Amino acid sequence: MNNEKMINDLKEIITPYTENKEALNSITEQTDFLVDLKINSANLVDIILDIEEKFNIEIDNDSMAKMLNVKATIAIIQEKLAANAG
Amino acid sequence: MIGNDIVDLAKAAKDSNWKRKGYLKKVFTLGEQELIFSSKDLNVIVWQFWSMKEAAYKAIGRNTNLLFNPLLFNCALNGEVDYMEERFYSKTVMDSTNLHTVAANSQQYLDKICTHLLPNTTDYLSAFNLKHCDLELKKDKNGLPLLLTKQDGLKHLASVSHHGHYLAVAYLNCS
Repeated sequence: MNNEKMINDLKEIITPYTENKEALNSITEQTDFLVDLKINSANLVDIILDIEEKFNIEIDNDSMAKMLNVKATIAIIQEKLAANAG
Repeated sequence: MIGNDIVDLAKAAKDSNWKRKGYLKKVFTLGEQELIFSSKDLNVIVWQFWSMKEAAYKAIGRNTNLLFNPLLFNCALNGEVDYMEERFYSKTVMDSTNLHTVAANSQQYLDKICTHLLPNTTDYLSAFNLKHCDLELKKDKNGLPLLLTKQDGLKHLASVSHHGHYLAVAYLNCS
C-alpha cells in the first residue's frame, strides 16, 4: 500500500476525533496528532482501535506509545502488515 | 516532581466511549480491570484511574521526552501509581462536573500541593494572575509552568492541566 493511500485512510479515521479540520485537510507525514490536530490521549486510543479494525492488525502498547504523528503511525502499520504477510 | 490532570466529565462522556470493545485493555492492566469491574461506578473509576496515570506521567515527563504508555502505570484504589521501579502518590477530588488528580513522587510532596481551578481559556496565565494577586503564574525558559509567591519571591514547581471547560493549576508549596 502506498503512503498517499495510507495518509488518506488515516485522515478518514482521524476525522471524528479532531476539531481542527484545517490542520486535518493539510495533513502530511509530519502532522503531529497532539500538537497539530489537538487530539486528546483518550481519543488516541480510539484511533489505534480504528486502525486495528481497518487494517486487520494488532498494535502492541510499545508501538501505540510511538504513534504520535502520521509518519510514525504509517511506519508501524506497514511493519504490522508486513509481519501479517510473512 | 508533581503532575496534575483534570477531566471534564461531560466532555469525556461525549468524546470517549471506553465501553467500546478492546478499549479498556489498551489502557488498563489486568489488576486495574478487576478493580474497575468490581467498582460501583465504572465511569468514575475509569476516569479516576485514567487521570492518575496522566498525572503521574506528567510528574515524570517534566524532565524527559517519555512516551505515554498507559499500561506501564499501575493504579491502586489508595491513590498509589507504580511506574517501573518508581512509586507515585495521588489524590483525586471530584464533583458532578469534573474530576481532578494531583500526583507526586512522595507523600510529603503530595500533601503540600495547592490547587486552583479556573475556566479553560487560552489566556489563562493573565486570568490566573488577575484572580490571585499574591501569586504569579508563568512559564520558564523550557515552557514549563512555574509559580511565584510574590511575598517571599519564592519559585514553586507547577503543573497545568486543561480539558473541556476546566483548567487546573497545581503547585508545590513547600513553605
